Amino acid sequence: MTALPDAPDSRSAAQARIDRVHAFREELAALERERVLTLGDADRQRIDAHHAAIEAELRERFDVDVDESRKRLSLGMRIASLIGALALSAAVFFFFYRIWGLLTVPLQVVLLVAAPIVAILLAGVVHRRERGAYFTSLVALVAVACFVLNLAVMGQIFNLVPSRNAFLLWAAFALILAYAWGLKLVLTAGLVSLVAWLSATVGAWGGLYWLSFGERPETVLLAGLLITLPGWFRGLPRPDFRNVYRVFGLLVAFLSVLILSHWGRASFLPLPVSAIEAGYQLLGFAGSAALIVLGIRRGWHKLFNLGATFFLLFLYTKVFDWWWDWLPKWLFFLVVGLIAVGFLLVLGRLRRGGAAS
Amino acid sequence: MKIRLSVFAIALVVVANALVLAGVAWNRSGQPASVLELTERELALSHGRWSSRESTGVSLSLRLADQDYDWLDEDKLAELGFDVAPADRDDDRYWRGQERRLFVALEYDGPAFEALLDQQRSRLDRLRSELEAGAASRHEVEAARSGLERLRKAGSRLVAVDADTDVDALRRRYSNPDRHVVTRGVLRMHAIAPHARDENLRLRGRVGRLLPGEVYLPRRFHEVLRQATDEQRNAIDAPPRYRMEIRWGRGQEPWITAAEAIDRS
Repeated sequence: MTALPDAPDSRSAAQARIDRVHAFREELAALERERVLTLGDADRQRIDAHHAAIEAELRERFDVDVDESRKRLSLGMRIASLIGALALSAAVFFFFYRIWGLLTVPLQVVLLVAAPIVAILLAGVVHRRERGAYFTSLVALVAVACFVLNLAVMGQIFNLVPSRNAFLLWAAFALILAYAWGLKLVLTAGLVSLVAWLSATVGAWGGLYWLSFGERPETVLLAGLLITLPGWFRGLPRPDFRNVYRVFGLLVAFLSVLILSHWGRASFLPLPVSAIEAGYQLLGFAGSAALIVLGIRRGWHKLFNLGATFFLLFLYTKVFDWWWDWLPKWLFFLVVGLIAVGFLLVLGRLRRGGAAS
Repeated sequence: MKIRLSVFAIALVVVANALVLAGVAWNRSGQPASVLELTERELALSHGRWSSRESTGVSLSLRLADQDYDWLDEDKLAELGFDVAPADRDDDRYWRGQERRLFVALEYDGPAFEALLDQQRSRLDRLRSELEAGAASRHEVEAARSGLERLRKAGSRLVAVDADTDVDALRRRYSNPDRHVVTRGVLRMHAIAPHARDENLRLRGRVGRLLPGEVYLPRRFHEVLRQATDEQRNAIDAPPRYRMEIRWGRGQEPWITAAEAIDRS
């Protein structure tokens, strides 16, 4: 029998519940030390037993971290998983290029098709054996790399004209694996591909050859905004993915705005370059400020961090443009430091306002 | 749900590869659109490929002749869909040019290449006359002479002669399969500013790159290439060391069907 009638549906929700249990224990201990409240033995035993059951169930189902040292270890494992996946993907790429000239074309094709399929099957086996997602994530990302290698090398072997639709296939593949096993890292890889496909498609509609989409950052800006869409809707599968869509899409969009605010020539807009740059600078300031407010109001910490980072980036690049040549260096850095102090004061006020509301 | 989703991923791999292979089979089926015997002048070793420790595969680069693209003038660019509306010469966005993916007709070792040689010969003759009149230097004459010699002995004889948005129309105009190839390419338009500020920008076009620009060499031809080249790139003015039979199929995609070393003794 489950200890949780309303069981969390994701690891992040499960971890939040465990964190609340720990906070409750610590606060209860403090209240008892301060002689505000003393629980009876029967109540204490009932609560302890309930919490122990919750911990056991959530550890079993989601491999949540039940104390701080385990949290630190989990972070280390996530980093190791990312580095391992990147390194193993690179190993697959380089190994194939090292041997492909020694193989006949049919054998090359068989290996290229088999590699992603074997990696998917292996990821499935690993997923069944582990409660966390560290090794599954690693193997699934290698599967994505194998599929990228598969289509890229097929294009080389058969002298095919490069097509932007390869990015759509890679994105679909990564998204399927991400949703199958709840892998945020693989989701991010899929979103990178999806941004490339959307940007190339928007660029092609605007008259560009699709491989040149990077020359027009507005294509990437639009793709980034489109990527955020699933992040705003409730009721979609894998609710813990919503944050990835929002943060990744907005990161891409703000990077494009930052580039356009200094490189107006690259814009599609039929306006003077100076007007385009000024417009994107205003958009950058207003957008990142709005993100800060939204992050505070909704408690979305990552969006808040993203907004604060870009607000400072827009501010400092502008300050550099205006004053680097004009002011003595000591005065320039004094202004930069005072801006940081002012920013801290404003954020502190917003923080107090957010806490009060 | 998890099992079904991972099955979808496997199905995606299988379907994507099946579509690629079906496309390759379709391209290579029936009569090839063009069959050319190109040499190292047109199919050069890609830099860093053969000699690379990290890759054992070999691809050869398709090289176009160094040409002026006189036929790709403003009217032709407009016909191909480029925006040729008069632009403000102070609008620096115009200098970045425009590009479009189109179909390009290439002619191999034909009248267009002869015209390039004639152009170089005329230039050399003109410079020699100017040298006698004191209007040109010996260095300029020597550069023109070595340029002509390089083009005659080692330069690519593959010349871009036309472009169109309609592949069939281009094929009807350039229908000799032993001399003409219709392939895809990226055409770029750029602006040239005359010295006088009151004159409009002049628009010119060129083929930025062919698609594909490289052709994979299957393993069975590696030994021929290795013996002919000793795995080294050729000197810029040296005669070619190998020839390849290359075919273009119905989908304008090429493949190599034969290779042999050129006996230079």
